Amino acid sequence: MKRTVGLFLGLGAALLSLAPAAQGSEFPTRPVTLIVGYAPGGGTDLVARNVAEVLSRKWGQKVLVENRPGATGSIGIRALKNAAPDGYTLAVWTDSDVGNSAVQDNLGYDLVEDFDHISQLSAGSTILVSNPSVPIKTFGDYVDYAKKNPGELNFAVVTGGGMHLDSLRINAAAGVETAIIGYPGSGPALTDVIAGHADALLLPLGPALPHVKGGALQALAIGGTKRWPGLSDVQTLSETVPGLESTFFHGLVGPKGLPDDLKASINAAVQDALADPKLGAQFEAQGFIPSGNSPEEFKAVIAEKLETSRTAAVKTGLKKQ
Amino acid sequence: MDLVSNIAIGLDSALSWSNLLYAFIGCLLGTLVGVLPGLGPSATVAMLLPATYQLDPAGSLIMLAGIFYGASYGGSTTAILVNLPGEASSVVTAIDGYQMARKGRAGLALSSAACASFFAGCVATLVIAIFAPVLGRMALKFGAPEYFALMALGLIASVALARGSLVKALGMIVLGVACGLVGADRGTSALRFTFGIPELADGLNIIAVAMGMFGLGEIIFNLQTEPAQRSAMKTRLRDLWPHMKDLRAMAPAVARGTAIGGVLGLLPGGGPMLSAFSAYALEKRVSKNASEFGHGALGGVAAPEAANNAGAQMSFIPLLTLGIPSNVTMALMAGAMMMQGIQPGPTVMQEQPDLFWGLVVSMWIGNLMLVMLNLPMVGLWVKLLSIPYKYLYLAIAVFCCIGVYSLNNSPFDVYVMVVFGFVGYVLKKLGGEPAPFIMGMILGPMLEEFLRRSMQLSRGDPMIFLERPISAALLFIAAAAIIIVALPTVAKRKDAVLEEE
Repeated sequence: MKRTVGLFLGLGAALLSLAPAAQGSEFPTRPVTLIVGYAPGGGTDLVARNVAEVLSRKWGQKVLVENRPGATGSIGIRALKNAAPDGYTLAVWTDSDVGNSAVQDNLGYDLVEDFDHISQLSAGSTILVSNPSVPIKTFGDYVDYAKKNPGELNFAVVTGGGMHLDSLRINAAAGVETAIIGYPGSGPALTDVIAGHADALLLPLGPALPHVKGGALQALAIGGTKRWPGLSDVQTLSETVPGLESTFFHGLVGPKGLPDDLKASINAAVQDALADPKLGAQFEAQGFIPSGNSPEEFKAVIAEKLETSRTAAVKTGLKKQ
Repeated sequence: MDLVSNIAIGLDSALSWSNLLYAFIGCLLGTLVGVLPGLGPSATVAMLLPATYQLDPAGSLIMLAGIFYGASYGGSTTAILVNLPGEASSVVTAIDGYQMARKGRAGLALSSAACASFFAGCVATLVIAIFAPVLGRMALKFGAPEYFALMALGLIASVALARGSLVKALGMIVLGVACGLVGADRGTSALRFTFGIPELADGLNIIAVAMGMFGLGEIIFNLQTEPAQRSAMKTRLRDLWPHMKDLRAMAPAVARGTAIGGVLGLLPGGGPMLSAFSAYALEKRVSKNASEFGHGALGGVAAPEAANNAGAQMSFIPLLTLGIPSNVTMALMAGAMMMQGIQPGPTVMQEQPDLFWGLVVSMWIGNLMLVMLNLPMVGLWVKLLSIPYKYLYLAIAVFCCIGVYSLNNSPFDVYVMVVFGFVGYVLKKLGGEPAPFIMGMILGPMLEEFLRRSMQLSRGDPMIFLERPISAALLFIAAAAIIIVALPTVAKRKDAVLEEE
């Protein structure tokens, strides 16, 4: 037993020593934790790990991703709320966190007032896809088909996830009705649409790209305001229904009470990290662009998104009054 | 021949000294971390992922594969030695493996598990190399109705996990299903039985419950018994390795386990998890010495271990051919590939053949490395059991807490484990067994999810289950299984009635 533990500790120490040596800046003097409210392997986790890797290099201190999955991200957010505002515990948020706040009451936190927002990290677009066997090629076709055959298409959604609300919002804006099939995660939903068990799905661009390029999925529309460079022949939602869009973000947040100079210094480090070409390439492969801003701007983004989501949640009936 | 040249490409990219070293380090780290109770493959891979960032793509995937196999095997090690399943699929290994350890055959159980895994790994690697694209498409034939039928069959088969009375086994399954219902309803997000505790919104953590019921429950039970009775834990150091007759005895079990794991492992929706326990249920039915099952049958360890490893390996197929990760571990692998600039999916095989075949070959190397690493370590693991129990149980309890905490970095999971430790003890006293409970807890929510989705897709028409051939066939087998299980009981009861008259 003792020998095993010793061996284990030795290897651990060896691994840690791979970290670059500290460069003697003021912050940070010890490892920084990035809380992710979702399981490892998901989109938010990937963003956090990419950013953590670059920040580790810049700061000369380990930046560790700590997954605190559960209850659509709210376990992680609550952990952040209770953390000391010293900059050593930060978190990466995404759209689902806003969507969840719009739908659920009594979560025990206010995304705008209870936190100090540092910077947005990414801006991403969603994509509406269908199984190629459905005779539609564009979002316009989708609207026509669904109007002719109300309730026939099976629209897959991740129950309570960030795209659930957007899916309902798109149907409502287009004035169409489909069956809504609930899934516990985006993996099973994607699998079922590729296999043809369900017909349509709204999801972040990144995970859909290889399937669209490989022909397993038909791209109907891009959720962002501009067409995506790699898929320039795919229209945007707003080209069919003006003003309709579906985007998502990732952003870095800290507990309430971060000293202003510390917040500015972390923000500066983040902007620096977002300019890293390797990180840019990683982000683009996953379907979003590095996109930083100031703490004030980011706070405004969260407040606006929350307001839009709250209105939509009531309008689409996802939130019962 | 295509296969030979493809394997040659793979060997070319995987077989460098540095890559062999990465495979070795990966297996070693995976085993050492995975052997901590509660740290199954997904937690271990997540923890060690950053260690691979600096390597080139081939090296990092090879090291990750090593970590993955090492962690899977590490989970089985604790299941056998101290009745602590490190992941859901080693729950089954714990049933007979721990009984073998109690009878002083821990070494044999560990080395057989390693051999069975190695055999299954070799077969699965070969199958992936030859049939991957075809099998990937076949996996997509399984929709919600088929999964529902499969889970229904699984739930009925979990009766076979019980050692004793049928009624008690059924009771445990129902109790397990009830505990599985805790948390947000997957269809409407409505909260069920959460009593306002946010941590319960995603349900009880299955690993925390399993470790409580198996591990802690066993500890409490052991502390209560007299020291003399526990001396059975003392292990004879000879008999570490399987003899020829053991190998011959377990060969059919390993073959059947590999076949089951190979088929079920393909299915992205929970197949790999079912494979170990389906293999056990089948083995118990067909084995010549069925009466030994539950009391330390070699086949009861070898078959699920083979199925487990074959299933784990086959779950790479949906990822590599379709770009669909079938579980958290595979999602992490996909994440690691993306960090290396590889988008997993159908294009990998055509665009980066050296990487694809390198990965296939490295799976085999990982398996080989694992056997080479672990067979010599069996003696070391077994020696752990000679530590006086008054020290050992403390260490186990501490490691349980660390392991369970690290699952989700959540102290709440530790409380769940402790509570279910006492629940497990009480149920054990009453003659209820944890294995059917755990299966009920795993299968119940999935059964509900697939039932609901089937009904959504069919707009409420239950005929969907009979109209589709695969689901109809599975349900037919399930119905037949009920009749077979019920018959002897009915017959016995008749006898009893007659005797009384």
